[in-house]
Amino acid sequence: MAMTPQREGYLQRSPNPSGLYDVLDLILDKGLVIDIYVRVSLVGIELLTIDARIVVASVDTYLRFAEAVNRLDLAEKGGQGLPEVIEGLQEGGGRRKTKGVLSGAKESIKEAVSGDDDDEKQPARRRRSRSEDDG
Amino acid sequence: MSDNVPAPPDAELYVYGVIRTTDAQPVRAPGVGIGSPVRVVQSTTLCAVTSDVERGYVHASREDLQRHMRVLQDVAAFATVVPLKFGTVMPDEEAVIRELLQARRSDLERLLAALDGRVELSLRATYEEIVLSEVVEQDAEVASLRERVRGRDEASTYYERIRLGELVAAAMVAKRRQDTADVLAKLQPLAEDVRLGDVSHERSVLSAAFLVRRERLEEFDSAAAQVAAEQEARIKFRYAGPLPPYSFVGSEDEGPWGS
Repeated sequence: MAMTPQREGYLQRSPNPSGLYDVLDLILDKGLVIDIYVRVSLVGIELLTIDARIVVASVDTYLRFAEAVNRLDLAEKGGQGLPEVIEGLQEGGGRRKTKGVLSGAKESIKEAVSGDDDDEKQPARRRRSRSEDDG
Repeated sequence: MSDNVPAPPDAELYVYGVIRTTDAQPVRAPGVGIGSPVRVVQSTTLCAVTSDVERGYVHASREDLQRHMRVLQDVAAFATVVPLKFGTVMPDEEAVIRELLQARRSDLERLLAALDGRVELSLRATYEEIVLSEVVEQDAEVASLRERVRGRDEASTYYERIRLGELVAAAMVAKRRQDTADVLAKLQPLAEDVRLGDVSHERSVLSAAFLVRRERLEEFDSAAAQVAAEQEARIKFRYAGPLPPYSFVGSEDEGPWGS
């Protein structure tokens, strides 16, 4: 279906979610469940899903937030909408000079993906997936 | 649908969703797993959209997720569809007919009726880092703690920095609630239904699915664009659809903020 150009121009509707996280989030836990017949092996993808959902209440997160606000240069901030502030904060903005909350989070994802004994980082969702895997 | 590729000897049926028999049309997209052609299994007025897969588990690989999504998207272009959960595999046609189409007939009919003429739209939003500046400006304790720990070595300010981060995290939670409420106030009136997904990523604002009548699609687009324009400096939106109604056929066990 053709997009009607938006007069505002800020938001394009794409036909599909882009990016693995959005696809996973859209599909993985949705849809009508016919109980005993869901047979998904989440091997390999499990940690990625989980760590897209980094837990908020942890010392790690607090330290990342603290670092992020400490690195804010408030003097430089001449009001909202500075183009250079917005730029580089687009998705995958890891190239940003300062190490922000986002890049910190990405590191956590990498750590969790490479390690496999990170039990305290897993929310309830994983346990649910696992029981399906066992069934 | 087409059946010129022989099923593997050990085949089972992957089930994508259920449509009305009167809506059935061929689907060209290849199936999950071994890429078998998509075909329907019929029981009177209902059809299951299926394809052969090898016995065993379906791997949640990127490719299979995409194929599941593509088949349902093709089907949704010509039919009202009740999507099944990713990875639903039944042993044979007999099981599909008996345990899905017959056993769940009344649920399926009710869902199909509720979903007629409606599409899912997905709206996701994440904060730009500038929102942290708002927190510093609006919260005196955050501002003073920040001044106190800035430039000092990490070891001696460890607990102060945890306290600072905790305050910032709490402020972000409050912002998230407020911003979610603001977005919903503008968009929910245009939708038949809405579901909010988990937002445990620290930069997430919301992950929302809206069930919208096809004829209101453009109206919804403008309203969403308006919201995005108003929030341009602080929030980045991702908007997708029309999608099959993945989020509107399951149980409502997930609250607005997860569990």
